[in-house]
Amino acid sequence: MKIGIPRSLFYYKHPRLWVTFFHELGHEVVLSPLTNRKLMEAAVRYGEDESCLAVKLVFGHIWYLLDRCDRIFAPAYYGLQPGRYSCPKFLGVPDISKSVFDRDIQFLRCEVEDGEFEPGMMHLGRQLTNDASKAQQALALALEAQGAYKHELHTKYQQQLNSDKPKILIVGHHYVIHDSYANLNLLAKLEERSMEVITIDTVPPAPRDSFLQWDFAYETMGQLQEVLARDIVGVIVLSNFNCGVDAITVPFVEDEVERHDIPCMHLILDEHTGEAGLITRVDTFVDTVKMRIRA
Amino acid sequence: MTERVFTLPLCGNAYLPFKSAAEQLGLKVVVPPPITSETIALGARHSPEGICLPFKVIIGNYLQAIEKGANCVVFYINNKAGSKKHGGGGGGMCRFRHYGHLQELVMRKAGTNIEFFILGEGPSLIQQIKEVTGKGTWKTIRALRMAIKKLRVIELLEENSWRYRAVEKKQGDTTKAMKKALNYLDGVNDFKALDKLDPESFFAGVETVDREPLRIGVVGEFYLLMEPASNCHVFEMLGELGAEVHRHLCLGEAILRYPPSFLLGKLMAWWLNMSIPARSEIAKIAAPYLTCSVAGHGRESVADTIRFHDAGYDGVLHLLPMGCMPEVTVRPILRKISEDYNFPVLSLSFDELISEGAIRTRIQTFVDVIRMGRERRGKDHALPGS
Repeated sequence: MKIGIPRSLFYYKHPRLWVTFFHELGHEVVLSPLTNRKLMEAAVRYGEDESCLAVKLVFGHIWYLLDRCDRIFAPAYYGLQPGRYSCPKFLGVPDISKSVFDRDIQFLRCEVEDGEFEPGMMHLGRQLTNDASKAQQALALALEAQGAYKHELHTKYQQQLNSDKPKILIVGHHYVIHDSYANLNLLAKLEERSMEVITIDTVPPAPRDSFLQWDFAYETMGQLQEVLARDIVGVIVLSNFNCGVDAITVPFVEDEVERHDIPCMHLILDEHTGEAGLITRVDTFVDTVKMRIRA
Repeated sequence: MTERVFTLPLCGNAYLPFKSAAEQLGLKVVVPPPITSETIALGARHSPEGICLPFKVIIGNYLQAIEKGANCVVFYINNKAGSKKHGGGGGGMCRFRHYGHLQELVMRKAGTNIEFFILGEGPSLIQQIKEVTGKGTWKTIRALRMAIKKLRVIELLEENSWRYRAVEKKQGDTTKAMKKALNYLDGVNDFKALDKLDPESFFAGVETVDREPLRIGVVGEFYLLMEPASNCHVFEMLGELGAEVHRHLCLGEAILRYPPSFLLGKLMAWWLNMSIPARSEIAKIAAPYLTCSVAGHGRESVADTIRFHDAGYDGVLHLLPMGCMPEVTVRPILRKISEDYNFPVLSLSFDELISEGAIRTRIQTFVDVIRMGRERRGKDHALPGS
């Protein structure tokens, strides 16, 4: 069976987990391409106008997969941390797809609650294979692959901390930071200006008590505490226009960064973002940071 | 220590019972002045840009209440809502859950010195109230009971006013009667007297004409359904155009759906004397279109649109603040339902920049479209005033 995975939202959080899992179960995985103009156009056409860009984009990616696979995978992430929950907009994606594309689409679901992957994955595995031990093995390998990915990220972070270049921290959702088409290649732009770009997802988790109920927000606040204690020269908060979670989280992130006396810039992206405007802001920010270093 | 002067956000007429309850418990209360465009602009200036309209209005309320002497805020958040994935709904997963803490931050950044009491965050609501007031359990429960009862009376009054306004002979009579009723109610602090009150009796003086009004159901985000100033008074607008309005959710119902505790939920159901469709029922009705909760009252909006259709309503109006997480998610589904059932659904989203004129035009068009549809189907009706 061909299983389609939209390269958006959850994919950027768990890029290896699901691909490995389905491979090991003996299924072919069709991954939608990196966001491009065609997908963006479909996203704008099928996405709800007031949704954030990322949720629009997932419809673009699903549109691409419609006739290219037998099933589309869209996990139901209720919460990736114990007692916390994910963005509710993700949960509705399969149901909304049926309405916006006006056709019956076969989805594969996997429920993840309180950050526990095993029960949901086992359940899904048994739907895809009759062999329980095979499902068990696929699950183990998938979790291992994901663990290795996490480990690589943290290693990268440690290496980056040793760099001589000025370090800039990017805070934002995985799917915003890593979708280079949607964020107009911001990371590369900063690197070109000889900055060391640390993304928040590479920072090891640091549990910290917080009232924030969304897992992204909760994780970020903990990671911030860890990373802001290092020699970070600037923080760029990257969010999508109309992101509900960020509307709450960003004021707290900014407050935290302010307390460390670090320059902070909040960039809001949408499907119209003009590149010239972004370049101006990035240039100004980099100049500010450099001026402070010299002073 | 200076005396604590409390304030609370406005939410339609729902502030009234809670103000009375707080006063009964010996607290000094300042009610924020009625919401105007100034309130909304003031709130928007200090709030994060991307936050939803209710938050901005509430911040405006606080800032104006401070001018009137308030130095403490009481806010209620239900932290039980949304905690279990299958019942997940209410303010749990959506931004409402974080309102209290963000309000604190925003008010601090705005340079005010105001104390926050966020009810519902701790293990026991009643315990929390007792800590604020210093009064005993029995007194607290009695005050709560009175507030809940009064809330129910007010909500019945509102329902009656929408019914009368659609058929009133002289425009404005219903609004006047409603004002009088609320004034009267403000002074009644006795459970038994409230229990005996017949909400319809207040409208006995309103002269009516004999015509069958259009019936329009309103679904959507809870605050916009409650606070007329935040929705450009669409309920009154519809009434004046000869349409009877029903909203799918009111404060009493919203609390009852996701009660702060099981026991309090049972008590409230008894005090309120109202029955609401079970959550499983709602889930079943919404299932062909939406199989999971999307937080807030998104699933309720889907189910209730279908329920309004089945109950023979002429159309549904969907209200949401711009960018509302649950309601934006279900909007494509409402559009699909509208197509599938051949049923008029108008979705209006509100932010701090919306003008009443724009909304009026759209409402008028909506009513005209529905009326034309009805005429074609040959239902009997007449225009207001004719």
